[in-house]
Amino acid sequence: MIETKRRGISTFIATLLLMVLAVSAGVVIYAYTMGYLGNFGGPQTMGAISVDTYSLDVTASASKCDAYIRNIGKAQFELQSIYIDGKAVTGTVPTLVLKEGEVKLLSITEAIKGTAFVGSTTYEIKLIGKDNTQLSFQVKK
Amino acid sequence: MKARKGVSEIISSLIVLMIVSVMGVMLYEITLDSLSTQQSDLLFEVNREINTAMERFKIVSITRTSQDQMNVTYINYGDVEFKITDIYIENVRYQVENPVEARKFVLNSIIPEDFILGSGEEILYNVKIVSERGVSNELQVLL
Repeated sequence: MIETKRRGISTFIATLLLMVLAVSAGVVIYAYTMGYLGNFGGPQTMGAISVDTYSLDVTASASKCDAYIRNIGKAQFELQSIYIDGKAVTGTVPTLVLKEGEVKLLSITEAIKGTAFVGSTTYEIKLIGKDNTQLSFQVKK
Repeated sequence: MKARKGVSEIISSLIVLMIVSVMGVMLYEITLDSLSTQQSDLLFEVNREINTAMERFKIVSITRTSQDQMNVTYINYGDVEFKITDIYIENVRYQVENPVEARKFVLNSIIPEDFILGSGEEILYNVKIVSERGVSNELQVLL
């Protein structure tokens, strides 16, 4: 008589393993889809900002654009980058952190790639926050 | 004789059922929490947009007070109440201390405390008032 040895995990363990695999895969897909990898279930509130007023100083001694930025959203705004006429401002981006309802002055001292602002020219300034909050406004002397 | 060891089918079914239920509840909670947060943010955003669109005000007069200060009077002719929080004179910010709720068709005045008008010849001032929602109105005046 030939006796066959059938070795392996039980069906119960196999089912459990399959379930663990399926649930893990589900969670990974869910996290990936919702963009919550690294910040699982955390708030992703988009902010909102507006410009109160601006002034463009293009005298011989100074070249800068001062703008008062207001946080009109629900989340804190933190400036990450500035674009002028579609090109990123090189050098150090000024620090600007606005709590809810706060207004602060933002000074931009260079136009594009280290060049100064000039008069009679319209510049389109775009501010982008760390949470991808964006604001575009035009300035002209 | 073959020895059959292990949990019974009923017990195993119960365990599986329990695991699935716990997982289901967890997923439900996470989804519900995420959705309610998103819904609340969306509602806030929609309300903000609506209120901003309905907010209308206008500077009706700018006068000099006896203390050589500027008195800015404005009227709310929109459908929502608001607060003027900032006044900009020649692009310099003056915060409004204790801003009041501007009711419909009621005149309100602001005196920027730190601003003193120049004496002598009249100067053209660009005055801009801004509400807490970021809505603004400006006027140029000779004072």
